[in-house]
Amino acid sequence: MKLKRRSVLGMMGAACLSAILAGCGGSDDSSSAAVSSAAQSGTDTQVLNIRTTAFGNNYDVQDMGWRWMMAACYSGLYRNVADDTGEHFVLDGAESVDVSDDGTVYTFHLQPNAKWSDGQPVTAHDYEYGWKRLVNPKYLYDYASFIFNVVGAEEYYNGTGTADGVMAVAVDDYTFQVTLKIADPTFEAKLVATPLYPTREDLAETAGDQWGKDWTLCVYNGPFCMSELVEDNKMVWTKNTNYWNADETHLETVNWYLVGEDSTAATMFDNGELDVLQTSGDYSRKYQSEAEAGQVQMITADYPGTVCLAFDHKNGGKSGLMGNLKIRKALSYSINREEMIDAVYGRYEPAYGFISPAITFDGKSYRSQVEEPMLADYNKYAGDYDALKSLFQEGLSELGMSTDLSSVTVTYLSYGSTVEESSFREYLQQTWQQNLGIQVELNTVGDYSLFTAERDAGNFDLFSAGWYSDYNDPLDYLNTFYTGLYVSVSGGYSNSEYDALIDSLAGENDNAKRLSIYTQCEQILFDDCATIPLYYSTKEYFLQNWVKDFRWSSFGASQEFYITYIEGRGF
Amino acid sequence: MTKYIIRRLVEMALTLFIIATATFFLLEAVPGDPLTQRADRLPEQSRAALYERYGLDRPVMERYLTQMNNMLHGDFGESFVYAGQTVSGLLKDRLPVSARLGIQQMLLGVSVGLLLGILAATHARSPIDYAVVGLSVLLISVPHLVFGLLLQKVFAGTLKWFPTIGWPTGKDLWLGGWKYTVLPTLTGCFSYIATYARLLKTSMLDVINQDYVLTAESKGLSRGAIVRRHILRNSFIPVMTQLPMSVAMCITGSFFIESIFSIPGIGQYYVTAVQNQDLSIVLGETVLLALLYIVVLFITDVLYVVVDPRISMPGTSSR
Amino acid sequence: MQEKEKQLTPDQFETVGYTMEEANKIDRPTISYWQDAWRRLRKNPVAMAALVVLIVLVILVIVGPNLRGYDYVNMNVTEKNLGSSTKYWFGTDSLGRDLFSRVWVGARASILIALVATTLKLVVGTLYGSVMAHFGGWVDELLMRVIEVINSLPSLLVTILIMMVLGNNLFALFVALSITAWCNTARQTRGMIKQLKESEYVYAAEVLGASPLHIILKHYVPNMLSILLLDASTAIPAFIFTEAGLSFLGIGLTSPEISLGVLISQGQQTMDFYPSQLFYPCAVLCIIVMAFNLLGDGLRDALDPRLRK
Repeated sequence: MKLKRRSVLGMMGAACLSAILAGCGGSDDSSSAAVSSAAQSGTDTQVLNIRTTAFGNNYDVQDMGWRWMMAACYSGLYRNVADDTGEHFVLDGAESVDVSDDGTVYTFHLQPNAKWSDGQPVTAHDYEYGWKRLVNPKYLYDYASFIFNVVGAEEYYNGTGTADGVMAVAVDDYTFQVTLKIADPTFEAKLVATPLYPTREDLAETAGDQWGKDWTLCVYNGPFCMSELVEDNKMVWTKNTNYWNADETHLETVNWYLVGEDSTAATMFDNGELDVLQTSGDYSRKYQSEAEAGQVQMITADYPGTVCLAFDHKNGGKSGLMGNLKIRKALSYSINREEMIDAVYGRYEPAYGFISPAITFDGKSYRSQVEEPMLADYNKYAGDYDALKSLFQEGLSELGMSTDLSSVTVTYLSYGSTVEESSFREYLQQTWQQNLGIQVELNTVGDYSLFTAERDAGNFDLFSAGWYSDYNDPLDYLNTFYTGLYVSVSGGYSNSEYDALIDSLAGENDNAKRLSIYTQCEQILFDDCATIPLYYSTKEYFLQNWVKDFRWSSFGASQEFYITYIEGRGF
Repeated sequence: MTKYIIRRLVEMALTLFIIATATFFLLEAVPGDPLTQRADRLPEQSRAALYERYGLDRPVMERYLTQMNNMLHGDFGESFVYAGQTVSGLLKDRLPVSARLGIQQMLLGVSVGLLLGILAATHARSPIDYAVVGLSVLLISVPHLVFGLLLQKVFAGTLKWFPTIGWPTGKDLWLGGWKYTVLPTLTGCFSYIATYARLLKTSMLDVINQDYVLTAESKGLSRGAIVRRHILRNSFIPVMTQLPMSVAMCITGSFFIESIFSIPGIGQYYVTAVQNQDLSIVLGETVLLALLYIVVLFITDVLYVVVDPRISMPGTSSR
Repeated sequence: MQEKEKQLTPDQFETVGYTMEEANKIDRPTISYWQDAWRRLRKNPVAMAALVVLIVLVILVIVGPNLRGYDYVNMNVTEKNLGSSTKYWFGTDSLGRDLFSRVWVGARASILIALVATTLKLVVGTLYGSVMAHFGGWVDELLMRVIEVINSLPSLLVTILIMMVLGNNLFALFVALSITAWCNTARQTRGMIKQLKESEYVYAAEVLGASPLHIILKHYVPNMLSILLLDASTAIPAFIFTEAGLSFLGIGLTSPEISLGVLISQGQQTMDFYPSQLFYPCAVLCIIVMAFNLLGDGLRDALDPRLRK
């Protein structure tokens, strides 16, 4: 069942005045009484109850520690929203954008009526401060490299330049101008990321060390304001009547409940205590069938994440075999992805490429334009385990080793203890042992820091890896295999041809050429069998039938409620 | 008496110091550190700066001395993982929640447990006895998590008597919001029922065979009077030995209950902090729990004297 | 009847012979403390039933996994999440593995862990306690202080940290489980030996010239053993629980190794849909613990000298 897109334009008017006066709702009744313009039936309260499994505890937009909360409570130049027609990249804080002919100067004209929840206008100075804060070497933000292409930014971050040298400046109160070193078609895609959101200098500087740690010091310029937080329990958002587009926002309150167990969440969803649910495993299957019967709504969306297994490209692994292409291929092709996904997860899409279908290029899904590079080769072997065994043996003899498969031991390093995590690693062990006749040792550790310790000690042949993209361009995926950049994803892969192709993208503005380079790059990865892709991540939302106009997003807030409303709940 | 108390206080301080030291070095021995996950995503030169910012680049002994010195001044430091969280904030926000949960669980669990224990002991080797044994085995064999989820399904899901999750905060912190506390308290009290029923039964059976009980019987005292005056009073020693452990346990042991009912207490937080190797939080909470244990131990030592006339004050230092 | 016939004369009696030895002989055979305990245990039907159940369990744990001919790790995803049937007695799990085999493999690990941890606890505790009682004085004070410190450390902290340092393996689990547990045994041992040292019968034995070995074997050991046996019968189920609890935190055995705790924590996550995956391991755990508890109760009665008839 899919949601119907519903026009929400043209509802500005009567509510404007009160909105400006009221600011953030909180316990203030006047705001909730004032804005009830949309088409809702009389008895429904505009309250949405939703589940989460963790609170982020980080309110510093530049840190991007808590993306889904920030993207809904704050607002940047653009907003990324998805509905059943796909991802939409819409102007938010910016009213219009001018790009110079050479593609290096971006001039953003800001919404003149955008305000922070304390009533102050959102100005270009707030953007300038936010951007310069991001590359301030004092703060060491993880995402500083996002704007290294801005003139003076990398120099400032590395200590060779000054803040004044960073060419992201407020021309006047409502004009923000950014100058790039070289034209970059992926630049706009990054603008939805919260590190490029505005920050109030006066508040951030006053708060000092406490900035981003204490939510009560924050002001918000997004559709909602945080109004209550009890750690490990509950978070409340109230409508921000100062949001420039507050007239389209119908929900008065969003209650986030921290529910750790899927079983508890299911009880609450069945009870109507939750309006929106994300869940996993058998619960997911249960609501899938309820959705088919029309009892609930279901939304499935691609999410820009690919889960894969990384080889030890540096040392060839504990077994010393991972340097051989045929052995890598045998390992990769002997996993029946459809069967594995069905047995272990009950959702997700099998992956025969690296770049997720959620990534769009030129307005269309990248995967709809480029066929999955592994598919053809995989299909040659699919299910033919004797052929795969001899492929593995060929690899062994190339290495000058005994071709006795049963004496081969491959070590898989992973962490985590949920049923899905442990089922997956047991599945993997069994599938390789049964299909290839090799021995598989599981090196399972308790948590991420132990995982990195084992990884750095080289106690593995393969480890669980994956990539969740930060912005909507294939480049963010492909960068991970650039020599030395993201060893935790690539396993230390290095290929000078590949690196040269990536380098050649700098300054390349022709989309057709970019697409061809992207395709070549991904093909190299699979000719080399550089990684074992397993599945593309997806998001699955179950909604009560009374929830209308729910939106989601791959690169902004996972769930977008800025136009959502409740109709027909009756309470 | 004064001398005894002073001696105990000095011992307590020493114990706390040793505990803080042991915890610090145990955490140091664990591979990795609280910043590993963040550092893994950073380029090489920024990594060093990150460690410098949190002071983790300095030698172990130096950090140990700084930490100890700060702790002496009541400053445990800030969480490495959750920015802005401190031990004092934790005490203010989370301890009262855990305390109420713990007190309710213990009051209900211990009293029901003791009642069942008396019942089982007075009807030893009868079906009642075996029913109590069976019940207590069942109550501890089924994990908290399963009990909690089942209670949620039945009482919150099907019957809708109580809310599924939540805990009173704000002005309801101590006395309000009872409906929220029913299911978590029930879930938690089961293990106390099991422990104390078994403990009191065993200890009462020991006492029943004592000569003075026979004497009392031969004097013609009624069954009830014997149980009340002789048996119960003397059977309470092992129960009281167990109490300090239960008090300490009721905080760390509430991990699953806090997590399934979304209760913002310190149990969940403690376990996560240990797994994150979040030094300052772990140190702070460990010292706090140890202090709690020692204080309760001291109180029970004093109570021994009240319960057992054979024990006199100074002799209680080693049980 | 005539008078004459009533008269007894010495020649009517025959000396069957007796010695001093025979005169002092006690007809009722002397039975040792242990024989007596066993006799009384045998008369306790509940304890005997528990003992039988335990023996059956031990047999099942040894042969159970092979009974059905399914390997406990071999998956078969076409037959996943089945209920009980004649093919799979306990059904199958989410990867189509036979739950009956898995439960017994899990129980084997759980019992093994509990037995080893209990042995460690008893050995360390007894030695430590004896040292305290034997030396007394400042050694006693110091060692007692160590126990106090260990007891005030939250055991969960110690366990988690040890598992993190030593890694998720059997050896680490043994260390982590027994590292705090021996304190109680040490304390009991110390108390017992101190009390025995002062007791009249040990004093009497010493005065009568009994060798130290005789005193240790005849007086210390029996008294200690009964305490240790009881300690063990409560410690074994406690260890099984602790291990199960750790599995819920993702600490302990790692796949593909399983214990009852691992099975229960996995079963819990699917209990709304396939309750049998939770029920069977839980039931086996209950039975094991129940049997140990009832046997422990029986042992306590049987070993208590005051109940001797």
